[in-house]
Amino acid sequence: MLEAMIRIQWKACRHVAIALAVAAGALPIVSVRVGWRGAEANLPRFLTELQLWGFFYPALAAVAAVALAAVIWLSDRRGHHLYALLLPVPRWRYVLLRYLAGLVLLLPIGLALWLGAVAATSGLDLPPGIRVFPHALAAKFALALLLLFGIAFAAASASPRATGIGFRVLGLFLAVHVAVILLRPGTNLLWTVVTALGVWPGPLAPLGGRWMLIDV
Amino acid sequence: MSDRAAGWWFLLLLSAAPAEVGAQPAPVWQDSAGRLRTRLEALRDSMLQGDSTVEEIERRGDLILGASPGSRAAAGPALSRLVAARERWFGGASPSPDGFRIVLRSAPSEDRTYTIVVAGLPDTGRAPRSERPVLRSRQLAESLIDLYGEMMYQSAGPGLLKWLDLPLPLSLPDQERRYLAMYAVVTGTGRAQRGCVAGRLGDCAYVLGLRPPETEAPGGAYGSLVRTDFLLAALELGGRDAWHRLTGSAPGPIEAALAAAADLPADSLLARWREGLLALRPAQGPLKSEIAATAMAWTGLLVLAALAGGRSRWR
Repeated sequence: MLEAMIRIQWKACRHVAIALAVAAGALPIVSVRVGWRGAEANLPRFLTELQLWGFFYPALAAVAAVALAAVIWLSDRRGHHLYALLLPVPRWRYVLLRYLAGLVLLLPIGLALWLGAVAATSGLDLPPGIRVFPHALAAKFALALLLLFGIAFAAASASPRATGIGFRVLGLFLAVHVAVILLRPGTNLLWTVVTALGVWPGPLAPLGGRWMLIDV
Repeated sequence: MSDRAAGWWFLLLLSAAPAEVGAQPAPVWQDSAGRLRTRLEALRDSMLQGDSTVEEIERRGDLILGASPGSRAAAGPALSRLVAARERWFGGASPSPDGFRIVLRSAPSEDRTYTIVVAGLPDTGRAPRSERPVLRSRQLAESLIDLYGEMMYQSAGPGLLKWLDLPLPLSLPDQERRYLAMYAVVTGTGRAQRGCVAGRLGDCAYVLGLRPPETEAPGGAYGSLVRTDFLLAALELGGRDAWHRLTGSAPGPIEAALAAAADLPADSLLARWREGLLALRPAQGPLKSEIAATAMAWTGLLVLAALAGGRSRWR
């Protein structure tokens, strides 16, 4: 059944998955090639530019995760989940199959980035003291992809009622935030929550830190 | 009144006056002279500070701290941090042999909230003196340490200052300074700079401006950021008397002075400094194990949440 699910999802998502894999493979190569000219004369500038390119890795992971999660659940939403209801499997098993098939679609994207990172760093004549991290960067990207896909998948698989409740809670929180800001300008609830989510052990902590393919 | 009548009146007054005027006893005279001198000094001091409200609030060894009422709360903690930094880097040394006075004045205006005056004693204009505006009270300690550090570097003679060029502020946190220095050293692109990273100590000495180059076309040297870090590393290694040894060995080659400060042969000092910097390079690369574990844990929770949503079916 998993095989059938993979086949169905591949048919639905292959264009998106291939485009994302190409982008993932090209990102490390482009980031190194663009800045490498003159890097021997100005390594700090090259590394600073590479650090700026590093912002694209979590961004690409987010785009890939949201796009794939949305496309995976698109047919179910269009058909009001009739296909799922007709299958003789409980909902949790159906969701699990969708998730595992989604992970298979993530594989080429992570793999493309790893190959791109290896290719980008393999021909470089780096001075002593400078190190390359193609494998660690690819592993970090894969983890970010996995995490963000988990978030997007959980949101996309939620029922309309659960989604509605989520949006209402979010709206209520924003209203409380604005009220608190007006009453006590020194208290910023939104920033507190964003910080809690982005700092270890928050769920978005893996997206932070340095995304350096080449570093000291 | 005729001249004659006036004469009579004068004689009458003379006869009414006491036969002799008593002389002031010497202790009383000394006392009044002392009080007059104290008041004159206070007047001169307040004119020098431009603020008559400044009062001495604390003494720590040869350091005297004065502050105006608006800056007294921040003055004590700032002095404590200065004393700690001074003890750490200079072993209690002072740019003025007769002691030092720090004055913190609060004078709110557009460009400043406080003014720090650091002056050697006696504050007659001959001792070293420096002044700095400060905007916020939390910057007082850092500014005070920086000002003191600059005066100490100046007191070590022109050789050290020329070598340092533009030394880093002394209040810069260790970790930040060392990381900046490590980054500058490892990313240096000159031939000698690469040689230093690779472990050639002669190249390290050249790029630090301590020795002539050993090779042709050695490339550029490290800037004041790395040199300041090297100086502070030598002082750190040398312990409490490092600064005294550094200034005691002048005038001479700066390499010898730094080696004396660290109490190590010059090559050992260079090797230990280089190893210390290179050890600061990130060990794990972009992926840390705790971050990986966090990502896995959150992913597991999210998948469980997605699977558990089955109770509401598809509505």
